[in-house]
Amino acid sequence: MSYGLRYLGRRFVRAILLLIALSFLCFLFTEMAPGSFFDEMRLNPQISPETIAALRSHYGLDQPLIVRYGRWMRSALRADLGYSIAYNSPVTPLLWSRAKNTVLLAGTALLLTWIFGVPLGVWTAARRGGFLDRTVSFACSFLLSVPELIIAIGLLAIAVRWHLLRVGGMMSADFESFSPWARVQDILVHLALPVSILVLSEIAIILRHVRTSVLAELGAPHVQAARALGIGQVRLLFRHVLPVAANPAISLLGFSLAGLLSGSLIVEVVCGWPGLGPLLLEAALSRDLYLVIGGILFSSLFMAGGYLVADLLLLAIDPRIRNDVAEEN
Amino acid sequence: MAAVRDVHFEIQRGQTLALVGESGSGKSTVARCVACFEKPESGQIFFQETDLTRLGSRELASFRPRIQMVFQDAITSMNPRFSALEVIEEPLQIAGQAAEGSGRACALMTEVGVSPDWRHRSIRHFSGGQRQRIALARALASRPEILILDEAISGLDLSTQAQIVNLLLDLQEAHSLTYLLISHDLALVAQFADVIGIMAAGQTVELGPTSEIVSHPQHAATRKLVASAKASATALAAITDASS
Amino acid sequence: MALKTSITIAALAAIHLVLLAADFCAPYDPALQDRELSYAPPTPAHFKGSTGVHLRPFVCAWTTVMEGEDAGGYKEDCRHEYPLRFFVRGASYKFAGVYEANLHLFGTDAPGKILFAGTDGYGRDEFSRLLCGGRISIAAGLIATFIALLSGGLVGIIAGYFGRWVDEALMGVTEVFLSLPWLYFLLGVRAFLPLHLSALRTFFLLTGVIGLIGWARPARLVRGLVLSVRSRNYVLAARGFGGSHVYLLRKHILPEIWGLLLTQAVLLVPRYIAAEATLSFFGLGVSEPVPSWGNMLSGLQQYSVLISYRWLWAPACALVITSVLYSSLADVLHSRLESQTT
Repeated sequence: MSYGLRYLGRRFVRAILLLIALSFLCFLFTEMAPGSFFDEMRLNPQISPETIAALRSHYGLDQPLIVRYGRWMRSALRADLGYSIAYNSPVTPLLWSRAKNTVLLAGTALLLTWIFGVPLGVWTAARRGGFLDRTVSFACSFLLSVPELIIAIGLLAIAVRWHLLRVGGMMSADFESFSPWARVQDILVHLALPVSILVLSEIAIILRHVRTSVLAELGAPHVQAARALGIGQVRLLFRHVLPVAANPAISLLGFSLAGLLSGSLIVEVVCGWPGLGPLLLEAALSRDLYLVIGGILFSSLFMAGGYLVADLLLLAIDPRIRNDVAEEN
Repeated sequence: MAAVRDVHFEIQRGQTLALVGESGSGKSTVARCVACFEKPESGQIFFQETDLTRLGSRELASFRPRIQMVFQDAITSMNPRFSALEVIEEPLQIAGQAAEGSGRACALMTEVGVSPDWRHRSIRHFSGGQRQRIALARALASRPEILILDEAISGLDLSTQAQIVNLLLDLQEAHSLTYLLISHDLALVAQFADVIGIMAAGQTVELGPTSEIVSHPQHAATRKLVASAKASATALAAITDASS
Repeated sequence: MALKTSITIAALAAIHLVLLAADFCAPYDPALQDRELSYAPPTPAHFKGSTGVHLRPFVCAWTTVMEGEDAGGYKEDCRHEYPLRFFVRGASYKFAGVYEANLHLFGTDAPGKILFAGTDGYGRDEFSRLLCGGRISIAAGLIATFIALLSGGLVGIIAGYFGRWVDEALMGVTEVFLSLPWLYFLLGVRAFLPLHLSALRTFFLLTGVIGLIGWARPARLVRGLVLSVRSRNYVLAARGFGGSHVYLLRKHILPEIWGLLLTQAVLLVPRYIAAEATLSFFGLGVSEPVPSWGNMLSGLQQYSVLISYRWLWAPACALVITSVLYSSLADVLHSRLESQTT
């Protein structure tokens, strides 16, 4: 187990280095950015240049890059990620409140993708060539080709047209007056559409990987031997094949998190779900420096965290297999 | 962990020295060092008074044409997209002597026993034995003085092996070549090696003329190899007797 | 080659050719507004007119319904028939950005309008916008793919060929890039660049950013291949003959990676087309009045438009069709590559 701890330790250090590299990368862009939040202000004749200069020095935007980065780094370590000029509020609490919603969305989507994807993958592999297998494979190929944006708009249209799911936002207007149980229900109802979009986008990948690994496992000599010994199909699947099939799904966990976060941005904007996505979009459109960097770092934090969790899980299951699958990816 | 630790041997010009050992005894590593594909961490490789390990890559480049290697697996040692002509010509192309390329390649092909009419065929279309012959032709293209044959004959069937061995002997006589053979098959190399070195666990444990090694093996590893060679020869003889 | 593959390639080629000559194939100027025809549905084609059945279809004019329950909607006014004509003189455009021309593939006599895909909120011909927007979206995808493969390929070759610390350092950098949620990063990078630029500059900036973010995966794949090829015996042998780095790369290594690059290209193009569409949808890409499939779809964010005006879905359908075609081609190439290497 000490090998595992050492490995985890290394990954952790790598994650930290990653975040540092990322934050510096972001800061580097600010130097290249030939414009800032104040460009709009400058066009306004009513705001004098002195005011703008004063605002700039107030926010410390006239210091050299290294100084700004150093100051930002120090406050970031104290969980203070700067100040959002557009929202007139410190960045961290802003990000935190939104991040929770994104985690709820992405986490639920990930869970459901698993719950539906893994069994379906196993089933279609077991009944290879059958009607279900062919239909599901075709559907997967199709879903993988369609851009996420289109899936989002498509499902949105269906939901609006046939009043299937509650559309827009995370809570109803009179949320405050609900009982705790009703509140949970309300959120779940609003969650349904965004989660469905995300699951549809991501499930194909998991399904395909699981199917491939189950097929490979079913063709393996020891499984053939077991079958020759007369062990039934179902038992074969559960005792021998499923544990192995779960491995790529788990290792994919880390990688699918990237896709899930990017996808959740689109879904949040299209469905009006108040997560990091719309916030970051707003920040990008108004060129709110610290908010953008904070948002990117937050999401990267999730990613790094997701990878670590995936590594933990894989380690718990089988350290040997983890290495092989990592090679494939 | 070092693959090879304590190796010491000498080859005379025109001689054939075979390094024999089981898998993992380090013989291939030795071959690669002598062919200058790898550098030993310590030790020296003398080629006619020059220590190859001390040379920089530019000086080494002038020696390379004189030391050539033939690999075990002919198909992986040649680019499958190349034709026979391209394979044989390659050393000349690299050395900038492409002008004499085609003619010399045809001559070499004839010499190793592959029809020059097939020189434009892709390597993929040749049999194992033919590919090994082409590999030999390629090795001879730069007029080497010493050829290192790393398990070059082991992967072939017995009749092809015999043909290749004969070819090697002819070539050795025609071009005054020196051979360094690497093999795990004592019986095979005993047929035409002058000196045999036995390797075990990364060391040369025994070194001597072929007749000595075969008739009076000293080291345990040597005895094991001789015994298994004799055993297979006896078995073969028994089968031959039984079927005749 | 299988029939399905041939059809796919033919379809893709046809789409690209049509979009290349978008100005010519489009009947109207994509920026021309007509407030009288806002949200007009596609004009139905009629074969049977006042003078009997014709082979050449014609369209009627749309007039606004003034009263009654359909007020604000459109009904056909067939008092005048406008036949479909080919090679019509219409709005002028710059062919290849240089030559002034005004020949269009098809059209009809003014004031009739052939609306294959209806009009948008400003009364602009959706079909013309579809073609011109498509040209932009697909060009963005192709150029970004080229950038990503060029940069990723170079890095991959360097990392795979020279190995050791160069490889470690470069792969470390790719890990940073691969761990990013790409859309977040894309948004961030785009945010730092000037928001209001000329359309051309925005376009190149956009494609550059998309391409430069996507270099990591091709780099890793190329590096893996180069590493494995570099250690093959025939490369070692060539090195043994004294082959220089350039020689080895040129003769032995590069021929192996073309297949991989092609497969990657076909895989990446639809993704980058989607990336451009997504960015433009959010307002961070190509902006009005220049059309792109992305910003044409942003109008659909209003529920009323989403449901009532289904012809405005045309860009979505175009995106899906293009993506599906590219994906199926990618599948074919991928399985061909697999079978070659095993």
